[in-house]
Amino acid sequence: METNTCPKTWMAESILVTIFCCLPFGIAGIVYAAKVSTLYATGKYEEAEAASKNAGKWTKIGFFVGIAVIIFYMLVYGASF
Amino acid sequence: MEYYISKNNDKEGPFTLEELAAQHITPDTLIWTVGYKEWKPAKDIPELADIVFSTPPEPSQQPPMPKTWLVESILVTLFCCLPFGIVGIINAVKVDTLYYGGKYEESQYRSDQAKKWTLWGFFVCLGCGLIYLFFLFCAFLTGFYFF
Repeated sequence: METNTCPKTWMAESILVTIFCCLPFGIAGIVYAAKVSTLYATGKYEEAEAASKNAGKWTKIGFFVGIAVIIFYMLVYGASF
Repeated sequence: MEYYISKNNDKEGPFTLEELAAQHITPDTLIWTVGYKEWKPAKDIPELADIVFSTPPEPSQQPPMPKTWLVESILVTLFCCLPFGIVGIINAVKVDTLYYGGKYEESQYRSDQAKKWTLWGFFVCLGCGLIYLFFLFCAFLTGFYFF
């Protein structure tokens, strides 16, 4: 049982996704990311692990939604050439 | 030496050093003895150091949870200033996690940080908005003048 290494916080990734990809999902990612390190520091390892999974989930969702929107716009505006 | 203590704004005492040890004082309990101009927290009194740091903290003294500023920081992030808003959100989230982890001082600190960044983001946006309006107004005036 891993209890001594801090799970991945996804903080940097969620901030990038919030700024460049998808604001709402990115913010959700940041919220969970901030929880990871605090929960870990107060000794709640399982909850930190759960928060880390959520942070990863929302960050990835935001990333793919953002990519999809960008591709969509490229197709729509690209088609007008 | 006789000491008085202040608990919940009630003065108790006088106590000798031995009696003080039985009172379960904390580092922040205010103490007064002859010679002090004002109440001092126990952590500032050298001769009480042994007592203060060897008794367990009062479990019933749970301060109320400080304001998290989560809603405000999210709004600021969405509508005002993204960078400051994000810092505000990060601090806001930490407020309640730290509080439930028992770290009340850190929780309060994070609440103050969240408030600071959220308000900064709000006023920076307001300032930029006003400057922008000012330029629009000038452009409007000079444009009108050219006609």
